[in-house]
Amino acid sequence: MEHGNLLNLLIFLPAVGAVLCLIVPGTRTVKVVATATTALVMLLSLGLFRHFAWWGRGDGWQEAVFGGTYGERLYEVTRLDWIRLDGTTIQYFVGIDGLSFPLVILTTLITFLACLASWNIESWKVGRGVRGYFALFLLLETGMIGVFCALDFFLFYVFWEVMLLPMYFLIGVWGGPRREYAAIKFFLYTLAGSVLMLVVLLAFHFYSPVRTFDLIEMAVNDRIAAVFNAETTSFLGWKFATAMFVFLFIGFAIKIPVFPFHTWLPDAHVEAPTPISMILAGILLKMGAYGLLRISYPILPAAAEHFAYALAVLGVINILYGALCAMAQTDFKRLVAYSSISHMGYVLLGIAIMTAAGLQGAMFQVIAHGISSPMCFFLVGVLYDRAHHREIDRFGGLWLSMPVYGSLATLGFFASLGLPGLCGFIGEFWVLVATFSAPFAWARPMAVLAAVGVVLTAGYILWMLQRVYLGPARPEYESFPEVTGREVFILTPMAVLAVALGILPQQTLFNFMNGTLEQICELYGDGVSMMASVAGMCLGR
Amino acid sequence: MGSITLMHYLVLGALLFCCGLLTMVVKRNAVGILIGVELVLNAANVNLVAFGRYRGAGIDGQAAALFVIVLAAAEAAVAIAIFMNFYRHLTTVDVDRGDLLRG
Amino acid sequence: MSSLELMLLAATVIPLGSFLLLALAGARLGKPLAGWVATAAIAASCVLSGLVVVRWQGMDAAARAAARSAPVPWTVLGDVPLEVGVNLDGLTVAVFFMVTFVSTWIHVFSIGYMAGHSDEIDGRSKFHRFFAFLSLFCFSMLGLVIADSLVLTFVFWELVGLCSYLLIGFYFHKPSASAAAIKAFVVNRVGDMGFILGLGMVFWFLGDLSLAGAARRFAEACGDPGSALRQAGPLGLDMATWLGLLLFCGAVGKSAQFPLHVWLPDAMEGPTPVSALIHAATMVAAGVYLVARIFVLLTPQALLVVAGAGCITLTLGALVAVVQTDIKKVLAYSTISQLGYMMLGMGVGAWIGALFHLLTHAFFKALMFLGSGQVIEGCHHEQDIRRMGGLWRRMPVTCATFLIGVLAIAGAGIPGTSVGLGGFFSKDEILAVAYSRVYGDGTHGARPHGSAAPAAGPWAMTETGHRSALTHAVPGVEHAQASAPLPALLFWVPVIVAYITPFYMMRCWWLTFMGRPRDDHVHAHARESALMVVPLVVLAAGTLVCGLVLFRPLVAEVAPAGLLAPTVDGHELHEVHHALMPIVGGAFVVGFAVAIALYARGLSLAAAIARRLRPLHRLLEHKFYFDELYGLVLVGGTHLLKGLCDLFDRIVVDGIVDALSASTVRLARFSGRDLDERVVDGAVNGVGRTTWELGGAAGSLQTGRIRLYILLAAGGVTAMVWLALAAGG
Repeated sequence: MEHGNLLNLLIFLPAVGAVLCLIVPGTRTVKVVATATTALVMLLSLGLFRHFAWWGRGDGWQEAVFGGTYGERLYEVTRLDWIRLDGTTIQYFVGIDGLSFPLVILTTLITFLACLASWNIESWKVGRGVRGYFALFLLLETGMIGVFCALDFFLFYVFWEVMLLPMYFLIGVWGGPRREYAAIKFFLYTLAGSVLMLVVLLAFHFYSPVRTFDLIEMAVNDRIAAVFNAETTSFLGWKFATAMFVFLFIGFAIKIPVFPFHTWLPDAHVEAPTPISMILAGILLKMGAYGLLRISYPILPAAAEHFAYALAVLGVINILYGALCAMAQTDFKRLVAYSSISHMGYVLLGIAIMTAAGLQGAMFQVIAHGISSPMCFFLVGVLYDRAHHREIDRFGGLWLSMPVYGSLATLGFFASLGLPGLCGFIGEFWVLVATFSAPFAWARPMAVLAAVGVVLTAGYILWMLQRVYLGPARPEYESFPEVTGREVFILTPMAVLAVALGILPQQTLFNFMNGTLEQICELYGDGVSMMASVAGMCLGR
Repeated sequence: MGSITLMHYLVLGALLFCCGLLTMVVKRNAVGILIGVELVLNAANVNLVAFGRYRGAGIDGQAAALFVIVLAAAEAAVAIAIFMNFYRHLTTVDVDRGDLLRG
Repeated sequence: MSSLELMLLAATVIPLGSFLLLALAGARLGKPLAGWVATAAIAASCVLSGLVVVRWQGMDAAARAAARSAPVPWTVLGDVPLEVGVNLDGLTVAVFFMVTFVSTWIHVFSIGYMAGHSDEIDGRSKFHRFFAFLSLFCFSMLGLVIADSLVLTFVFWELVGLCSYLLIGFYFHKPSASAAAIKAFVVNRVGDMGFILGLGMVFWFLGDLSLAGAARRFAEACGDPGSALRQAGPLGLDMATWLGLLLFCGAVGKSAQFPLHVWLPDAMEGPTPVSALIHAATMVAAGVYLVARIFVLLTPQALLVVAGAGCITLTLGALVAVVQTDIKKVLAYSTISQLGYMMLGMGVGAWIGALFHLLTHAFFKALMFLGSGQVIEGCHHEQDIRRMGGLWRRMPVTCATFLIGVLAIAGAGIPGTSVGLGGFFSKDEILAVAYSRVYGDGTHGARPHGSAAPAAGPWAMTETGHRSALTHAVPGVEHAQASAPLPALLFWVPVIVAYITPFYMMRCWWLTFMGRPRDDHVHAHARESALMVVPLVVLAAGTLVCGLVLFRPLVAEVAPAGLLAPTVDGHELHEVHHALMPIVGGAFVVGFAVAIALYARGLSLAAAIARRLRPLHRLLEHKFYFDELYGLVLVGGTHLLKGLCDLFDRIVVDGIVDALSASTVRLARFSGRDLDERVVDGAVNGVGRTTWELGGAAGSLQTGRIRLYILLAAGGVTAMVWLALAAGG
């Protein structure tokens, strides 16, 4: 455990920026302050690389970076007593490991890009203040980074809620025509999940023999694990671990989102302004997967195994159902939103099968989707800024009138499609292969069904490309200006990352997180991990 | 014809009380009511003196009666003052004309 | 890395550099400089690979083995390391050279061809874009050739698919072109779905995704009767067979085998050089190349399926080609048919023959496609052979080179000698092996080879001359199908089709170049472009010589040990030809003769026959109704499902959510208005009101009349006394 203050800086700098946004004069200054804050946070977050740098460390780097067991090696830890209660203390406990590190970097990067994407806020024709928008935007960043850094359950919950409220206002105030409906739907859905999480938070605290909110300790302490997973521990008549897992899962499933808790997503995306869509798809959806991997699976592995089948089924439904729904959409943004649902299905499936390969695939998909989907949403936004509508069938031939934009769009959507050499491929491929070789008898049919998703994805993305970018040029779009320098500047980092992740998955991502993922795998208990380790060989079966 | 017993005094007191009460109820003139009050008080005095005499309570009965007489005098003074004000407001001493205490 | 590997790697990467240059600065380079940049890049690759071939030829076996270096780690899947390296062997060298050589000349041709075909859209030039895509394709295809791991193969596999998509859809202002592009990509994805699952099986059962490692583990696992691979899987096939079949699915898609052959004819919407390069010479052959690479992972049952798919495909393609009237469609169906031959060759164990056919086919089919491109360009985009005719006068070189291609595909040669063109050797070799597999004695002449070559495939095949047999590498483990003769259809159907092939090719050539001009307008403007003639001549020369002298030995040396008929050398080839001469030797003569007889006097005779055989003709014209069937069942089914999902989402899921929220609002209204206001508030207000009313009632007693008060007081006291007395009494 290495102490440090960088995370505190990352978490609270945006909040300071938010206050500054409220007091500085002039809208342009507000924009500059907000952008400078996000840029600074992004640059500072790059400092985290020094802990995870595998280059120049020689052969034993893996041990040096990740340490032995889960939670043994955390970086930039700050641990302060926050609220003293009778018998326990709620701590301000932040730190990162290989699980949260890539997500923090993703958050700071996408937030910065989304902030740049907000510069044309005046042209959104919503007539609401610039000042409030950027203040809430920065507050949102505080919440998001906090969620990924918090290692105390209570703190996690607080940041989770901190993030929720700015999002509600950003959609509900600066959104499209049905913004109130979408914002309330988003808010209620998420709140319902939060309530269940609160129940779990309290139950964990009161059932645990060691009164603590420490997420790491709950995962690694054998006494706690014994009580939590015992058959005799019951909660309102249910088995404790089972009930807790279901509650947590619903809470996180709403965020991912998992069928049938997904319908807030298309509405929220359609109504949210472009930068908010980028953040929603790029970061907020990832919190569900992160929560599962940070809380549910390490603390309740037995229940996770019990529900593996159900989760995998939901994952496959997400993949196929999301893809089919995406195919049916006529609104460009809705299509991308449903494709997000489909892609997050791979994440759920990869997590559900509980093998190292599956986790690697799921986490890779999380990051890859965190890059490709904001790119897609921004591409849609670029179009919307010019056409002021998003009807797929009314577009056509845009690759002719906007060649640079068309090329970038092709790249972005092919990354989303999972073309090898681009980021979407690795996650999908890893998950499919891992599912096929998972230590569960039902895994093979699941893999076959999930593989059908590959065809469907190609179908809806290519069909959309055909209707929007290919075909004869339409006169009404002839005069569209080519992408501006700002837009290219926003798209370029995502495009570069999409390619880099696809070509060098090891160097760009796996080296930073595989150590922690293996540690989480080890927590799964002997049964699963042993089966997983032989799954690769299985010569003795 | 027997001697005069306590019962006689008590009957007298009761009659006197009834007369006083009746006077208070039927008389509309304020002074009449005051006279009725005096009758009631004196009926009580009769009883006090009678009980004092017949029940061997010493002078307690007379003392109490004297006390009541003094009290009645004071009461009459206050009552007459009230009536003076009553009259000044309403130019009458007919108590039925004044219902300021009505709830 | 050895210098040979570096040279191949450099030759692969150069086109990528050209792609990046053209993608970023192509518009500035303009026309025709952009085309020359791409051409220079692929020419450099070609020179490099030529040097590799020369050096490779000069090395002995030990030096060749030493030239391979260990792969470098790429990433980790679970705990299985994935490594990448150059798969340096004779097959790689041969195919690499073929791809770069054919590509180079097709690039040259394209510069001439695209000059007139790229600027038709709104004055915006897509010339550089075409060459950028072409460079990207070359990079991907070369990467596919040198990939030494299944994952890497899959990566490049998809990339060539992407390039195919982009180039088929190059004229994307035409709806038919973009639709064809989508069809190609999605149909390929269906095959790739199987490929991915096959990779899953390799990962699961073998735990090694490199080609060599997987083959080694597969042999080990199959040698062990208790291994999971030998367990029965679905449909009565064991897991090992399924592993091979799933991998083969990828090849079915890419090589347009039945039942996924439907995309290739539509792919002719792309520019003609693209058809020549991608959809005839290189990419579509990648499926066969893949099967060659995973050959050791295929069990006899799996090989039977491969052969069956090939057999159906070659028949289907040839039959449909007979009635096509679009010059490119004829060539497309002939490509499908030839790919079927290759796949059949793989399936029956003619590993070398199939790859040999792949290489010769690349030359003569590229040649014919370029010839058709020349014709189309010269005739102002006319593609219907019924409106051509007599073009030999206007395009003598094209006519002659095209004829060389026709002779090659028909397998023309002088029976009994080694004088002939590509197909004469390669196709006949496939047929020869099929013949021996069908009619060869299962056990006679075979010598068990397993102990001598343990690294060979588990169902290693041994052979003596062309009489061959399959024996299992591990004694005691019987695979009934392993040594059983193949169904006779696998020999006779290809033989019959060998008579059809010369017919439809000659029909195509004759209708295009011979006879009387049927459309004066087309004929009058027809002319040859000088720049485009050069590649035709070069490829024709290649077709004439290159097939025999260079490729076969290179391929033969790589053949998996114990493979069926890998050593059919010149002498034995004669024997085979002698044996088969009565059957197929004269096929091309018969086919040509029938075609010329039918079409010498124009179209009327053929039309009359077509009228006679109306139902058959219509069936062929509609390509056996595959498109209609798939369109109805698969595409329609998907659209139906998509609609249902959308409805479900909007009505059921959202309905539930909205209903839930509506009922919450109702409940809130009920609890807030009805319950709260009436019951709870009612109770509180009721108490207040009652008190108020009681107070009012009591207040009415307060008349303010003093006499009444006195009366009441007296009455009250009286009543109390009365009560006290009554109670006391």
